[in-house]
Amino acid sequence: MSEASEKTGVMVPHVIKGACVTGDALSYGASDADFHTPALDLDALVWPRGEMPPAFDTPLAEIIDLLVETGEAICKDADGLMSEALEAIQRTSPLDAGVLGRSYEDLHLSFSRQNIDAQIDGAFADRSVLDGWRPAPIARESAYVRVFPPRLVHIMAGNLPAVAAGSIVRGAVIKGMNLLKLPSNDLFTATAILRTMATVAPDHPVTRSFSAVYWRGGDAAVESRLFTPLYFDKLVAWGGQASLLSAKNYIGPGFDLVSYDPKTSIALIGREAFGSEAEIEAVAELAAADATPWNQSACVSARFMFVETDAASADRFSAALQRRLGIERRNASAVGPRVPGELREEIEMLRHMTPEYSVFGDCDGRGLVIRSEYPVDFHPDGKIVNVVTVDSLKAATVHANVATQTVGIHPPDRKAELRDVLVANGAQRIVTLGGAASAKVGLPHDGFIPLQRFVRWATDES
Amino acid sequence: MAEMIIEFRNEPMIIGGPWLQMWNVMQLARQMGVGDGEFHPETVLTCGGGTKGADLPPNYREQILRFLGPVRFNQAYSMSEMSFNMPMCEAGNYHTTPWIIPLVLDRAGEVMLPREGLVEGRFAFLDLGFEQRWGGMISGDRVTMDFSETCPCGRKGAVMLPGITRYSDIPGDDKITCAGTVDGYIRGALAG
Repeated sequence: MSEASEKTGVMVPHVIKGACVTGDALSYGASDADFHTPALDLDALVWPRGEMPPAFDTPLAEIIDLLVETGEAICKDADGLMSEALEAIQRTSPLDAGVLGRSYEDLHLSFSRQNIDAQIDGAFADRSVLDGWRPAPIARESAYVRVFPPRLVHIMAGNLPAVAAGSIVRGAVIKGMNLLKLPSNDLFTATAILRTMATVAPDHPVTRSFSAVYWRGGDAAVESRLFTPLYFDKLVAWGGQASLLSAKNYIGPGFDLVSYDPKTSIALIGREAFGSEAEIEAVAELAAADATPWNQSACVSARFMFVETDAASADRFSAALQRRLGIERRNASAVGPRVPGELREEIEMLRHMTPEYSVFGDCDGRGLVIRSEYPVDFHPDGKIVNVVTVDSLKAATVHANVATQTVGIHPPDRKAELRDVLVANGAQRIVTLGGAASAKVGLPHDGFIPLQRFVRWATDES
Repeated sequence: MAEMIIEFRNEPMIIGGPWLQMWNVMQLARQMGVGDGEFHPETVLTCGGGTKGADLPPNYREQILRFLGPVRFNQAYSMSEMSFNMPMCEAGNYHTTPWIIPLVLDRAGEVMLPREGLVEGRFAFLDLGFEQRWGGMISGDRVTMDFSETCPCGRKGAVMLPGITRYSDIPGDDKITCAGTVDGYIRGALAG
């Protein structure tokens, strides 16, 4: 391959402490020509411990104003940074242009004052603790407490652009020093947001508190030097076994892991759903909305649905669900990724195993439903749902485990009888069926309250 | 078989197989007290493939060739599912035999790529040399085929370029999602 053709891949800009850096010194991808980045200067990626954090003296109210203005600038996109990123991301993301475009239209929601306030209030009883030393709420003792800005490395997931927006908002309100590691499935959103922020407030302390760069996850030459308490306090890892694989070697005293663990989601659908054809159709629509977010690449996407009915009713429900998996939604394509080869073979085999299994739909990306008596032993992905018949929803709760994030339940009044045992088994989030993708801002995530876990708590005692 | 190869080392032989097997022959020969360079100079060695995950020293080829002595050596690309190997020419390319039709598929192994010029993808082939079974195979190898009419060595026909990798050996693509299964929570699952 000639030198000229090697540089035809996508150019990925970096942001170093608020400043955009471009270049093509390093090449990555299957043929080392998929995308290029500037050279990595590791010294530039750390904030020395001896220096006060850039945003230490910036009032929280000013930071919120900056984020809100950034959200407005993202919408206006006067400099075309967001549309440039949207165009570039289409070359590296598995999502199609429609889903990506709508996800970008919604990015500003993370920057709304209402959502930012909800996050802060969900984490801190008194937000002024972010701005200075406050008397600790303990009786008859003289003590002060404050939140100190942490040094964070964020290993971001790239399956939905909102991850970048959320990481930036969270990192900003706690005044942290944030190194964002770009994933290869979203190399552009974080840098576009940070560059937009820099147009709103160039050289602002918060702008200078962010870097966003790419290195290949697990690259020991980078990670063994950066992932140390000398430079960072915590590693914030999103999902992916790959990110945890590299992280586990470095976690230790002084360098904590805050993990949004890799999660899967399920649904429990009660016998009430199968009273009539109309009811089945309506519930199938709710179920489809929960199965399809980001073409089922998200942790909230339901993959196994346990139905409290017999095989015949479950088949009618499965057929209705399959038809709805192929509908284009705000966060899903009509035609998603094709079913990969190894999975296709397994599914084709199940077609011959009636009546134990029924398979609805094809491997063409429009959605596929497998009805069975026991859960299939593969991980349904790319708009595939396994509908499993159970005698009772209570019996289905054994299928929740520590990897279970969201459990969608129908009808909603069955939640009370199921939620404690589901959580005991490991689940973290109970929703009314149909609500999986609309996570409420300000609530715990994956069993913890992110802003509380990110910060360093300091005390001054008598 | 290894004992036979060692026993007949003074006679011309055609030896073919993966490097790992030749390494094992060498180890056995050394245990038996056979020194370097004792093989008949008209012996033909055709070796290829990787080390099948075995932990061999980086200079394993040099060690094996030194052990055999000045035999005729030809590097080749092959696999047990092929009726004949693809020998490397003077220009460093692997040549196909007339009855093995090389195909290049996309990474997923679903779509055949055009058989024109340089094509990178998953190697597959249809081997017309088999009558008892279907001769088609989709491999796990990522290759670059050159479908130009003539190789720089002067011979005609499609050639495979050196630099073959197994898709399973390519480092993760670093695409991170928030989804996962309980498999990752089981102790030892993160051992890799």
